[in-house]
Amino acid sequence: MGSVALTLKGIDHAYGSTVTLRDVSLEVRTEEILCLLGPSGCGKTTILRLAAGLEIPKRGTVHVADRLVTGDGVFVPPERRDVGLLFQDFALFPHLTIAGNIAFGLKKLPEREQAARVGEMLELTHLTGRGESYPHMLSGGEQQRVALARALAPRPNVLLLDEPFSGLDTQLRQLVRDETLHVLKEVGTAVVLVTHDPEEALFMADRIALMQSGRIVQVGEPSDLYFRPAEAFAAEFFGEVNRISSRVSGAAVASPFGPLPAAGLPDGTPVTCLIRSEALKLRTVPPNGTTAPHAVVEAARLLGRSSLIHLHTHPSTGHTLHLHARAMGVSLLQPGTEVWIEVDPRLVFVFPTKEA
Amino acid sequence: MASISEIPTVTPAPAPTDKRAGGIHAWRLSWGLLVAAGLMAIVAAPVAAVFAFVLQPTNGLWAHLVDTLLLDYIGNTALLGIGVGASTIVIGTGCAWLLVMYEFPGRRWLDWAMVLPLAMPAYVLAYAYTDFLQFTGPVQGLLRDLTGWGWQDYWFAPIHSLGGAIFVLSMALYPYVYVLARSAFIEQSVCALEVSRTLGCSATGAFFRVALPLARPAIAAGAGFVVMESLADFGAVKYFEVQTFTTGIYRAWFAQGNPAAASQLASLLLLAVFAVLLLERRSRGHRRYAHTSARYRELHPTRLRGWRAGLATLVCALPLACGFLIPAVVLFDMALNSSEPLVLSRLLHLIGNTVQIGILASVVTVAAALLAIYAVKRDGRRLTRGLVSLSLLGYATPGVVIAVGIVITIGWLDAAIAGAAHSLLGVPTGLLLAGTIVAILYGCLVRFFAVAYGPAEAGLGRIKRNIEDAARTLGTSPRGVLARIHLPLMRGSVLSALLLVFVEVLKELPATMILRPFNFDTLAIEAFQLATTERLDGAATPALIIVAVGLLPVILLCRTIRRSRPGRTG
Repeated sequence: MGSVALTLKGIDHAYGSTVTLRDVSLEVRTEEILCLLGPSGCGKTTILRLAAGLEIPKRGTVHVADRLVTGDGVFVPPERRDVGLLFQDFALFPHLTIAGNIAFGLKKLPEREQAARVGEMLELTHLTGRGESYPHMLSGGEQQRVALARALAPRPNVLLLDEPFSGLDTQLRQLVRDETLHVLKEVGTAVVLVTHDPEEALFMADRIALMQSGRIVQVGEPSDLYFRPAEAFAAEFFGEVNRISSRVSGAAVASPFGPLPAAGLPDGTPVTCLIRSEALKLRTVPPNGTTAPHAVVEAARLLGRSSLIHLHTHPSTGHTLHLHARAMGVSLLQPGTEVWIEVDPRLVFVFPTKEA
Repeated sequence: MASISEIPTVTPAPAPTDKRAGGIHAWRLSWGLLVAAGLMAIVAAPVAAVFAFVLQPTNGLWAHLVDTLLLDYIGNTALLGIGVGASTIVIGTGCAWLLVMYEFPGRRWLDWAMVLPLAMPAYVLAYAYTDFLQFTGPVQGLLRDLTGWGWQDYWFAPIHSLGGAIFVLSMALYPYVYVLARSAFIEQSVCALEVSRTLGCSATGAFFRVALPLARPAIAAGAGFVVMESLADFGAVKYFEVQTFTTGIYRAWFAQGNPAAASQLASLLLLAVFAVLLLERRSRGHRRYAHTSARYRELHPTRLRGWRAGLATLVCALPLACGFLIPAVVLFDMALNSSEPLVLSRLLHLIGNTVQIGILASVVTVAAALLAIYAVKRDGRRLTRGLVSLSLLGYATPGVVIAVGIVITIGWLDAAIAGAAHSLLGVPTGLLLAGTIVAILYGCLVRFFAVAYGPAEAGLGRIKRNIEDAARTLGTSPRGVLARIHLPLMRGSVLSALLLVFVEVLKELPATMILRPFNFDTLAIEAFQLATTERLDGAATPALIIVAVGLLPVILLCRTIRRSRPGRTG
């Protein structure tokens, strides 16, 4: 990993009386893609705007590379920050050609270098030959690439991407996402990408910062967030979970399929168990030592690469729960089939229940 | 250009509700508010002056007026407003409905040609119809040829009457209702109409029970504007010798030299205008109906056949003919066969004066509008926006009233300057501003501020915040954003604002006539003077020039209308 490209420390921010960010700190290194992930309205975009200098925080500092750009009485305007920003709606300049758009941020370079850089960027984003077109003549995917080329052209220290794929339809999105990832890795700049789509974050990110209502819940590599969520919110954000409310007894939690480990929680603590739907392995024959089946199949639905199986717990377990299990490929389970469940302990998370 | 940008609304566009107002765009020292307040003071000064003069003694003229003419003024003005309002609602809404919902011969071009009368000022129509309908004119001539009647054998409706004024004003103004009603009908999803049919409405029932109520806010806006314009009209009523408030104000000020009485009449007229404005606002209220169905289907006009088709064509062609074609032909005929045509040098002199005023006034007005728009953009507070929208009210103020107010204001200013110069320098300066071109420019600024504000604001509204932010992150300073983003993107809107104001100034009559320097004649003034001194033929050429230039923005509007059917291109 390279040197630090962007640092935010202790940021508080509000729009009028609406608090948007509370004590946010972040660090992004060169050659790293950091995804800011969270539901809409959690303050992700505000972080980008603060880093770009389009917003002023109430408190806290922003450094680009090692230079203080916001805080302690300093405010460097956006045009002198060396930060690139790609907008959700691309915000291409309608009165300029593609080449003109890309060259917009290169005014300080001599003409010849400008032209060379524009050519380089067109090639990088596979737009060679479209330089003289105008934005309205391009498809959505091409416009996105122009916006990317324009933001990258001045070789910013940090590139900020605000939901860069949300303006594209589903089919195109996959493709553009892949292309963008390759371009970003080729350029090797530090990237902060905002998204509300966990799948997109997992696809793009070296590290993910998960946000909820103005604070950062957890920062880590994608596998950290998936396998070691810090909170119930983090566990639920990355996919469907089964929820079981219970109490700790003897460092374990009772469940329809036997006790689940709850290390470090005192007896009697009310807890919520979150079990990813892909953690439930269904068997039609009882494993050793088990007698009564755990659950009964209600329906099985093919979702493409995987199947979703709706279950309800067997009366003999003493629970009445509706469960979802996910299995690869087509499930051949018929409604009414009795199944035994084996749980992948890596995908079971126990958190103390928060007081409502 | 928006399809109705021809009609300056006195309702300011909804504020840019950006929850991110603030940020680095927040203006620490609010010069935005200062600019707004300054503009408001400049624009409001003449109106305030008029009201301030109300309490001055009138030396008995007011009592005399009350005894004699005041009832005439009130009656004629009210009848004029009601008559023009009602007839433009019927003509504008009816034609819009036919042209939107039905297919009949000529619909294609009638659809946009209906707005051509916008190029005809009412006073020009008045000249043309006077010639067309007078005893020696073609209509009465034909009548006598057909019947063999002679002088005084028959009664012919006199055009120089209240009815005549209502007729020419209706013909000149119905396009405002037409344009708004038309776009309201087009915007309605056909689904709402089809649902009403399945619920048992006849086609006529669907019009009265669904389409008309849905379009009502738009029709009310158009009619409100039309009524305000008819109350403000001076040229046509003066020429027809109909006693209304505007002619009364003119007479009190110039014939009787009584500013106090003129101000009192002007105050009354202003109250009436603002009452209409309020009424229109209230009838519109917040009832901007949302689309009732998310699905949007193109309207398929029903094809009319036989006599119905012919009748529809006739109904729509009639106002177009009366408002544009007939007067245009009559004016051409007058200009070509004039017994004492204007000499070329005189004509060039008039054009020079008119263009000079037009260019100066449009530059001043558009510059002020841009200043106000940026003030609102920088300082989006309610107070700033409120002040700017008050400045837009100048458009509702009749030109005669503005002129009287400006004469008073400039009189004060001159006195103040002279007083200061005398006490400081000990030299008499005399009147610096009164009777100069500055007074006309001031009048145009007050009256046409809204005309410039509309298109310029729409132009700025199209520049999204993200575009500016993108430019900033790409290394451009705020001033650079102005030069590299706003200037190129606003150019079209600013040009159309300049054109609209230029044309309005060209057509403007009363304020220019009252405020002009001695012997400073424009095309409109010359035409008016020739017409009122029984040299109607001579008025034709300047009137035609006014109409020809006035056609420019109307043609732009026609092009917008032709493109404005959903699901249709080109």
